[in-house]
Amino acid sequence: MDNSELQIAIACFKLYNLLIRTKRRLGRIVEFMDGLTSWNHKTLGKAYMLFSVIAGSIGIAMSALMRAELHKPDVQVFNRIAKFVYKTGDFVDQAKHLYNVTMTAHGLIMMFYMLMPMLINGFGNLVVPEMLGASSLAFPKMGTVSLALLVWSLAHTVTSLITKGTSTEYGAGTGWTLYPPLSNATFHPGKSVNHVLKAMYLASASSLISATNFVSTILNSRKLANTLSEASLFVWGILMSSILLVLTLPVLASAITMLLTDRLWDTVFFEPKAGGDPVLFQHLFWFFGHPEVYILILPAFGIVSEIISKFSNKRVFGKPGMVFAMGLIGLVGLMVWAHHMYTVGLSYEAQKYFVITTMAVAVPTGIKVFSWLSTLWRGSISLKPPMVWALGFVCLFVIGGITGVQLANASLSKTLHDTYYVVAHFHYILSLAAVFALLAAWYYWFHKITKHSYKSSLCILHSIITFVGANAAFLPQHFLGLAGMPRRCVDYPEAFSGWNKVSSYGAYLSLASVVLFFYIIAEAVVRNRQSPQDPWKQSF
Amino acid sequence: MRRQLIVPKASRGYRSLGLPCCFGSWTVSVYIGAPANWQTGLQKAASPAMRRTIQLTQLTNLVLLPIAAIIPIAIIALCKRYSASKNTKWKHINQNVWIEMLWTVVPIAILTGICVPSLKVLRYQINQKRKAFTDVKVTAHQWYWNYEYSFGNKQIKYDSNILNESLRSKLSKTNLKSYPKLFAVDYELVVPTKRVIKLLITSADVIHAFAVPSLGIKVDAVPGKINSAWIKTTRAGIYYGQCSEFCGKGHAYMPIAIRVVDQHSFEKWIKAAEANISKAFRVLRPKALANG
Repeated sequence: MDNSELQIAIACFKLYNLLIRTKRRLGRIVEFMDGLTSWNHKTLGKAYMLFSVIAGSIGIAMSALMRAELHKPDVQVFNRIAKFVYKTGDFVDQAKHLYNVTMTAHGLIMMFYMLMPMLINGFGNLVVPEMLGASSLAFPKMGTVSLALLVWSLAHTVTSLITKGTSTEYGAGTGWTLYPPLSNATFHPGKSVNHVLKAMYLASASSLISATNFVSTILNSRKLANTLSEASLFVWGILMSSILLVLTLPVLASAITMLLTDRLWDTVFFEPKAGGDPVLFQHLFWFFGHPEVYILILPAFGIVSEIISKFSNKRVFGKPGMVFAMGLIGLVGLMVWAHHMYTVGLSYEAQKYFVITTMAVAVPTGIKVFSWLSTLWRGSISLKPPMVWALGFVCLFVIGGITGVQLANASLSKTLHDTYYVVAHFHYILSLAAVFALLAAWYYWFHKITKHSYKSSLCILHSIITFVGANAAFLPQHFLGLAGMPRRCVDYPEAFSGWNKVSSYGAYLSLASVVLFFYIIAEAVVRNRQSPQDPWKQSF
Repeated sequence: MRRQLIVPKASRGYRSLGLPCCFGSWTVSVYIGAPANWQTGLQKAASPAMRRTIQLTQLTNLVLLPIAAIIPIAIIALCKRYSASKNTKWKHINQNVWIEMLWTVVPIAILTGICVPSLKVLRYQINQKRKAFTDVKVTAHQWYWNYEYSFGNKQIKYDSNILNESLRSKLSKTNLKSYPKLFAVDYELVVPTKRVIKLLITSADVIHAFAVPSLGIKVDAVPGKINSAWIKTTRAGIYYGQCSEFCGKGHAYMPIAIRVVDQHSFEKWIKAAEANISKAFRVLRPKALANG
């Protein structure tokens, strides 16, 4: 071989070496990404719960600020915050926008970053595979991707708070419902609303992925339970919730896409001067928005069924009826969206249809409540902490449901729509009932989340303080709504001051219960009280 | 004009009082439809539509509140009776088709019992066969209202802003009971009593809502859309409401006030308003000026 051939041979050998090394490096990157995304489903569930607790703390802090503002008439809290943020200008005027931004962020955070991650993804990932006898979800890596998208979504929401919403002020003051024209580029020219919309895209994608994951898991891995009908009601709740998510999230995505293109590229979906209609957004939004609240409550129903059955030492009464009721709630819930829109100018026939279908949802809900009572009947009831929370859920959910039936009447909407009566109604369902179910599950599966056990007496104290505080915060709001106080107002006339004060005191008490929540966790971990594998065996 | 002293009736149940308003030692004869502090029910009805709405609320309360009360009581009773500490072995019954049918059919019956009168009231609220005495065009802006009347070829158009505190004495609206903060406006919507008035409501910018609780009316003001509603007040007075659809910074600061006067005063006001709006309001309220 002469010189040139040798050089070619050496070059080929070096090239071959380079290729092998690149392949190995790529292999290591793939392994790294694999390890990064293949979390144990329990770890993933706990990560979602941590995320939810952090986001929930931010959400509650915002609600405390709002209640502090509404403690007395006149603007007294947000003008000080405005002074801190803006340093110059008309602080009272800036305060009004700041309050609106806080109100928007509170709604978004509680709905998308506190309730959904905890109830569906957190507890779902933690216990559903075990309940089905599976070792993981159907697509374990997608679970991690779903969490990453949700974290990125929260990052966008936080970014929206620090970008300009209007031309001079920070944050999107549109309400979580984002109605145009208020949310379009004319009235919110800044980038803040764009960030909110991107956040909602990412949260929708995250929920869609995890919903697909759950549906696939539940419909396919059934080793413990041979047929789906033998599976726990929590599994059914997650299944129905996930199906609703898959059906309705694309509609939300379409609504916010149209809003985004209206904002960025001068499309005219919701621009009346060009023939568009703001009410179209409302229809599309609420087509998602109403099933969204059933998405939140169906897993809660499942949790409560689990717990009531366990601590009554009795199977759930009428399980087929319970499954049927959950399915009916989900199905009919897809057909009732315009009860959020009774005053926009729908025809009598349209309003009549929505009144009837909305009332119809009360029937399967009633079936569930009566079945829970029948599960208690002739059971052997031990009032352990999770049971106390679960029974609290039933009471509070019934109260919220009653006000819901009142609001279902379009004729009563003429006095009650967009008043504090609506605020009271959905806070009873979400902030009281759903949170009670959440905490019931938290204390029921506490030994799976941390390996420790908590002090029962502290937990009962937590439930009492939460019950008193939250009721004190939201019961007076029914009276405010009946008297006519509109919602989303930073200030109110003197005539509403009495009950507002009571409501604010209740909110402060609820803050104390949040502190107790963290204390209970800290106490269990610090005292290192190890929990047995199945702490609830003794209740039998 | 003779002063008429109107003393409001005693409140019935949980309905609020129309507020008697006094300043100094005089009792002024203006009925005010506004909420009272600590009230727990709807405002007192000042229109037949609101009267029906209140009756419907009473019906639904009667049917629904007992349910909300019975469930917690049942839970407590069941927990006491079937407590684990009692150690009795009960025969478990996990299904019963008859009771499940019962608690499906009975709620359907109850809800139908609520639905039927509810839809009747809804139809009454929407349909109005009588021809309206006049139409008023209501346009919502950020953050005030604009009212427009047309009579033949004459047009009356004016803005209704929240009452600026510094203008109270100029407009003779110093009585805080008659003109509460965040309710009072500079120029109210003026309508005659006991006549059907048609309101045509729209918006010039974002979505607002025209709402007056004591008249039982709430209609969204949507840009590009004209929603119509009818009102008919049973007594003269001032009826207050607030904007009821979130519209930005000034959402809490764009109240609605409807001043209902007798037919004669209304016609005098219309004649004066064609020339000058603030003079027309002074014509409407000579007593206020007299009392300083």
